Amino acid sequence: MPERKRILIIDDDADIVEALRLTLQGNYEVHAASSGEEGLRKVKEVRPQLIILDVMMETATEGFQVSLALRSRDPESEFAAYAGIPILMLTAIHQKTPLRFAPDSDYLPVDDFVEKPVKPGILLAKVKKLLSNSQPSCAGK
Amino acid sequence: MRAGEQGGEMAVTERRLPVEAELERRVAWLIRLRWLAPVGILGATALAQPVVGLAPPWPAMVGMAALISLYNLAFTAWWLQWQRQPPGRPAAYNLLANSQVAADWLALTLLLHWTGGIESPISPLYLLHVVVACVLLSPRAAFLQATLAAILLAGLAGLEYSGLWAHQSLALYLPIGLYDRPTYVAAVLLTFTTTLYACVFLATTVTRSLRDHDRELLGLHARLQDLNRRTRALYETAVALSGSLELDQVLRQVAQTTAEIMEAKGCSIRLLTADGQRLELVAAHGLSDAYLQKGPVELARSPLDREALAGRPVIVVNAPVDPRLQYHDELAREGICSILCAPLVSKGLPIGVIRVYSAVCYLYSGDDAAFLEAVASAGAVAIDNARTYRRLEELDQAKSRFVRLVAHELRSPLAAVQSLLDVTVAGYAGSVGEKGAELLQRAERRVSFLLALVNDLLDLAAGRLDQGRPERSLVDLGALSQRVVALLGTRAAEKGVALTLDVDPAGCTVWGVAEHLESLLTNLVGNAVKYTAAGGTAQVRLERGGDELVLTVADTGIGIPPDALPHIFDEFYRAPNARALEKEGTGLGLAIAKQAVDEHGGRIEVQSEVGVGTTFTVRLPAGAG
Repeated sequence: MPERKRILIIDDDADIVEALRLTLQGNYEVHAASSGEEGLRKVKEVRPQLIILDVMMETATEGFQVSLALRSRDPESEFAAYAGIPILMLTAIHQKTPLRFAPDSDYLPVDDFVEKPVKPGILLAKVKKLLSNSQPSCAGK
Repeated sequence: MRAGEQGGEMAVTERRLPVEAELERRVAWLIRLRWLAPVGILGATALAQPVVGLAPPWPAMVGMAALISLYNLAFTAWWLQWQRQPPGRPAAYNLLANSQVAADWLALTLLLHWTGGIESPISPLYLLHVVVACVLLSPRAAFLQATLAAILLAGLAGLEYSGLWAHQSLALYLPIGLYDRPTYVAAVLLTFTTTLYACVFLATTVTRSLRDHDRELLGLHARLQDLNRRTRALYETAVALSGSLELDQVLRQVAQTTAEIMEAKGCSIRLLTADGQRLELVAAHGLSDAYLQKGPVELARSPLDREALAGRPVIVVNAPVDPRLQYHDELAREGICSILCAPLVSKGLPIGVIRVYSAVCYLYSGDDAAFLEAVASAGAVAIDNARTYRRLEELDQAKSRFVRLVAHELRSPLAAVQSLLDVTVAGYAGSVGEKGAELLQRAERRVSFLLALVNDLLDLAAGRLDQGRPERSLVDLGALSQRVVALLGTRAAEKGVALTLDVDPAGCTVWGVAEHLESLLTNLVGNAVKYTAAGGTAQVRLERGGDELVLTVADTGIGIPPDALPHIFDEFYRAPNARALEKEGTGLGLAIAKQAVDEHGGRIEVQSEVGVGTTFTVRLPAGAG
């Protein structure tokens, strides 16, 4: 049986975290952090294959700051090893963010985003897609 | 030099000109009239013998006629010369007039001699000439000319009496010559002279009175024209002021127009601060920055403004030394001498003062003050309107901000509830049971509606707020429509509604905000799909017509009842048949759509028939290309 992929959810809303966990735990190993700081710590601890990141937590830019820290260009950065982990960003409905999303943008490096409230089907589809993108080709079972 | 006096002088000079022109005309008239004289002389001479039995000597009469014609020719030539080259001096025509009168006296005296001297029946002609002289000449000149006439007559009488000049008898009624009777001569001369002077006196009095009236009329006429001009200017100001509700613009316009109408150097408007203690400058025209920045006017230290605010306009005749003003040095430096200050009164309460400034001292009069009051009154109304409008705008914005705030706060909790419900309904939290699932689904629908409402409220509020004005760009409406139709296509297909799109190949771009235009399209097309039953159609067409884009969204849906039509763009309004068809609907969709249309300077129209379908037509100004 293939090892279950690890997903780290960084969101301060416990209810959203619970909803996401229920959706994902059938197929994946789910970890959670309730703040940006805790999240960055857990990235090192857990070494997830996917990070689901809420764009707005305590402060308006906490989500951005986490993603910027993870994808820092600085080769000396402590997160350099984790820069390749795909990030799925959670946005609230009708959220106008000052920064633009783009997978290949230098400015805000996230790979995809999904709007809250999250429909389980959509979430699963996006997670699957992101994980398969980064997975090296695997032969056999 | 006092400007007021200078102005008066100028006015007098101006007023003299019409009288001068009149003199010129009269002089010409007299010359023309004089041509009658030779004719009259010859005619009278011819008739004298058969009619009255008198016989003036023909040679003498012809000679007189010739003489008069001759000097009249000379006058004519003189006059024509001056027509070609005007003399320029006002006194010139006076000279011509006086010369004519004097010449006429001489001629008359000669004529008198040839027709019997002191006994001549034509001596009353002198009196005729006196009247002419009084009309033409100034009273003093008229008296002098009369004196000349008296002297000439006396001279003639004297010469004939003394025998130096042979008396010409007319061989008539009186066989005895009277010319050598001293009493007779004296009596005639006396009567004649007194009558002469009396005539002059009466005639000049009348003429002077006429001239005074003339002058007065001219003065009144000028004043009337002035008032007329000002009334017109006031009307134009009122029209100009009503053209804008933007407060700053209105203030600037009032200052500028007032300065122009009153031909002043500058104008300033100061409004009372909220505490009513100071007047702060809000608009100025024609004044230097250095002067304007001299500081706020403290009411406590400015009796001038206090007086004005009490409701009376104030005239300052010499600003740098007037004790009622604060900043004497600055006034002197700016070159201001006269100031007129009037209150701006709105709804019976003073809201500020308006001042006009002039470099000329002692310039402003009561009339000017009254006029400034009228201007101020129009200005105050405009200012009040603009302020009210601004307050309304602020209130509207505050309302929108509040809505947005509330919607923001509602989002997270609602999203969390929805997520939990979704997950449970989908079975990820264990089996739920049939009834449980049903209840959860009902709850999920309600929450979904709330989320849509929050979404729409945020859309609406965002459209109303100015802060962070969204950037405008050239939006390809064709591509946007395609995207929206693609997004809604699955929903339409599920329902069995045929959704089609026709885009004008000529290119449909709009200069605007992409997100809001997308909202517009989503709402209109979404509605078309929502309210059309299976088997129906929803057609979206985008056409370019000149400098306008026409978007048509036509469906074969339930239609809108006629009494609902006026309300469909109202917030939260849902037509009864729409509500019956689908309970979940925020009623904000068309309000958002209309807002987007208005924002882009377009128009939206709707045509509908219940049970047949609805067509929305949106016209937007096209962007370049």
